[in-house]
Amino acid sequence: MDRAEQDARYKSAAAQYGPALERLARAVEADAAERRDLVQDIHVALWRSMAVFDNRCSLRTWVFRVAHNAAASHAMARRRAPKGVAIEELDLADEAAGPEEIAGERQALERLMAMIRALKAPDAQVMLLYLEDLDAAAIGEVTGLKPGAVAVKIHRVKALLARRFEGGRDG
Amino acid sequence: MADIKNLWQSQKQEEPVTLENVHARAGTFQRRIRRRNLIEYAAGAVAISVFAWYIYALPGLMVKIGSGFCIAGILFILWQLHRRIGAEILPETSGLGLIDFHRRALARQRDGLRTVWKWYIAPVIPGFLTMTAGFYFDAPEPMRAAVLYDLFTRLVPFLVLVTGYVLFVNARGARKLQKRIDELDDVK
Repeated sequence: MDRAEQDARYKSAAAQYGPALERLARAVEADAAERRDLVQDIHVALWRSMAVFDNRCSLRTWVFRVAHNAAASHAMARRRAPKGVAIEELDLADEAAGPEEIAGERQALERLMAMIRALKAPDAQVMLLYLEDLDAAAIGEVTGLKPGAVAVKIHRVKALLARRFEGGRDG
Repeated sequence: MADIKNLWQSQKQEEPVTLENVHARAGTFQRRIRRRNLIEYAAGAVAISVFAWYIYALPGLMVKIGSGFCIAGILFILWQLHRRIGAEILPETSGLGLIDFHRRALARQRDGLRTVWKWYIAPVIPGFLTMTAGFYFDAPEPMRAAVLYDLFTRLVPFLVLVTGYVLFVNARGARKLQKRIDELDDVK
């Protein structure tokens, strides 16, 4: 593949999924300067990957895989990166706290991102992909998790989000 | 549940990344890799120059042969570094699912740590031992006991301690990585 074709593929993917990539970076990195770097790193990874993308999976699956892997590399390289907890641990910790009122959208988003950052990488990834409206099969394809494991994680994600942001309503 | 999804997806993109940005950053990344490689090769070249000077300047055939072995060992280490750096994240691997990508990255780091003695320490041992023997046999007979004493009370303990510490730290790091790999295998 020549460079022009690689550039064209990248531009198309970035136009379609650019906002989702930025949301991913926001969820992974709290520091504004680091986040800008991460967004750029994700785009560079995506551009490089376009040289070898062979349509064996959908463009969306490929873009999310590349982006999440770049974000995971960033998190792994971060000094003293927090280990993260599993969804069920966050879920149990949340039960004692009970539902809370969220004042504004910004605050809700900040709380959501803090929650994602506290999760272990695979759990955070499932939650992010769920928020991006991918279904269970697509999440399995991106993560490499078995369908059963994805279903369990999505169930926990839904329950956790419902309790934290919708006053106990599940949906 | 749709509310929180809508809220999440309604976030505005603040700074769209341009193709020019991407090209520039990719270029910077390549230059950084080249500079890192250059530093490693320069350090290797300095070490090789020192042992080459030993061959030229130090007396005794065994010391010269030992220095030659050390040069061969350093060349082997440089080749291994080159090979291992080349195996770092390639565009192809970034399209793997997160679990496989993570597992592969961790396994590569673990294997690097587990085998560090084979490719980073062992290659210079024959040279070191030959040089040590050379220092002993090249010394005049009455001085040999003193040379031996010096070697076994200073140099050998120092090298054993440093090597032992490096091996211990690497083994501990490899165990931690294996634990993380096991955790990934459990969720898959």
